[in-house]
Amino acid sequence: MHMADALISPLVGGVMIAASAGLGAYSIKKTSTDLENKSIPVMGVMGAFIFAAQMINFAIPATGSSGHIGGGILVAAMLGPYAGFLTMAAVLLIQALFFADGGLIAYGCNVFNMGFYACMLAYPLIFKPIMKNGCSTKRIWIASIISTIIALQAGAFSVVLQTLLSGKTQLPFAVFTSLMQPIHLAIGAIEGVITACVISFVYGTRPEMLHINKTIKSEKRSFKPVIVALICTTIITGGFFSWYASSHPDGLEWSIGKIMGNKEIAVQGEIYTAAQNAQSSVAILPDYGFKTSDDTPEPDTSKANAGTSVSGIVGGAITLGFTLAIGGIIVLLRKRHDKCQS
Amino acid sequence: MSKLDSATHSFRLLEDFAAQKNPINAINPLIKLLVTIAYVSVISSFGRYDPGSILPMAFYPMMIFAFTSLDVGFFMRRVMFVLPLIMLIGIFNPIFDTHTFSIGNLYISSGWLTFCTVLIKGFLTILSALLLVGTTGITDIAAALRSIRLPRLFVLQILLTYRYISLLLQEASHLTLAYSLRSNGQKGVKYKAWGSLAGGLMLRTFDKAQTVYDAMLLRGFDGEYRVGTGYSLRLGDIVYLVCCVGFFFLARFVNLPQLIGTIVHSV
Repeated sequence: MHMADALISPLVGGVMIAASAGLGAYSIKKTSTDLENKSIPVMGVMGAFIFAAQMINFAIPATGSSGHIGGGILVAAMLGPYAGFLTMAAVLLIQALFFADGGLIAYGCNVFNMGFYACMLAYPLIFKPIMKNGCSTKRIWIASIISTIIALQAGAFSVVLQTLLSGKTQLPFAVFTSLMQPIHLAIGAIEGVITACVISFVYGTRPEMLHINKTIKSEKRSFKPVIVALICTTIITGGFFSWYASSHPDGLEWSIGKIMGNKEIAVQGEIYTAAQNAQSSVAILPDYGFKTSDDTPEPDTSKANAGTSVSGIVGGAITLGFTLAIGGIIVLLRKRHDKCQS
Repeated sequence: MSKLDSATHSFRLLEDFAAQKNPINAINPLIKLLVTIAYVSVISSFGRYDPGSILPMAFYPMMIFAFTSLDVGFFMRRVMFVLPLIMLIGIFNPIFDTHTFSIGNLYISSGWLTFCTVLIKGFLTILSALLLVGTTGITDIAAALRSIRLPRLFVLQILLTYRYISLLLQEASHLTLAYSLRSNGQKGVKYKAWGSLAGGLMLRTFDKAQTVYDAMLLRGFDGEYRVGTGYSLRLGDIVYLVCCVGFFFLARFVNLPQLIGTIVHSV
């Protein structure tokens, strides 16, 4: 899944480097407070282990082929999500410099695709909850396979998105996805089994080494980083990516256009007219751009872009605010329900 | 030679190249890092349909080979090893790109142009990363990263991972050799041994980490990375940076092959 520089534009590469750097800075902060200097040689040597383990070919039964592990879930299971992410980032940098396995501009993409999904999403959200009620070989197998498959599927899909956004390939989205996802499903299954074998072995011989056994007490999870990440993603998506939103008709409009000869169906009737008048008076950013009067000429591209960016940010802020409001209402209702029951 | 031994050999060769005395190796590592990042960024920004305009960028790696005694064959082999993966993505371009261009009476899919572009970009960017390590070395690259305030934990992580890769590659090589000698010509590691082989390597890893940590503490390790011999920023380094980056931008915004072709044609 290592992406080369030839497949990434500087813009996409720069954004992903910034995202990975942000995650790295957060991981360093968490690792510095949770662990002492003792963690540094452990992380370094684990990184070397992942590097060495990637060189070992595990023969896949009945296929005549072999595979190797990526190591994201494995390293997170041993060191925890944050130290695991930093370890993967170091391994990927060394692979990029010494073996040209992954580019320098694409480094951020590779760290995100192979480090973030496995260490910071799949491990805490899938692996740890499955192991919540205690370690056992069966739970290790289920947790390893499911989390590895999902991490690799997410990573492979990210590769598709990053390549297409960079515009370096003519491969249509559907074809690219249909090639990447099944292959990485198979790879994820094999890696999940190998990961499960290794973690089971460690559990059988030195169970105290597993990170899950070091974090037995339930953690009070803060959602602040998640909310900040969502806000940033919303602003970037709405404020920047919306520039590249196509002005061509979407699937529904295209279909209607082909059938009716016009992408919008004309309506007649007082209720429809009233609704249209109400909508046009309320809409502050009609069609995702600034309102223009009929007398003014067509806005130039820079103004349309500025309008779209403002639309994106305003739309994103409203969506986020609406989502938070609904979430807040649900939390209030649940608290009230729990109070009544007790 | 097994994959593990080949990897160890590559690490040793690159370290030997970086330890040589030549004008390029003497340049400040931070400058070389910035030049490489600028090189890769400019190459990535070239458009899809003009592979010829990227060709002048090959001047930079050629200059590095000329001023050093790097083994060209070694670097070309490492690049060629990785190039097929890029070809796998680019090979669909001639199929899916519906535009065409003509050479005389021959109409060719524009996808071949984009395919060539992807190949040339891949070749040059991969080569530039290898040349950075071959002329600088990981220790100096880490010092350069620390000088631009990259967190010490991450820099230490890179250095320690690198240092112990060769140790662990040796251990992994011994384990797999022992396994293959006992497995009667079997290829790869059988399913039943996956857990114990990789798990055994991991447990040795953790024990080694404890030994390494104790040794570091006894030698005064306090969490900070200290560079033995520092590189100062000289006028020659600045000139190198300005000339390289200036050339990259010139090649990006002026189609040098076309200009040369026009001049030659007019003469």
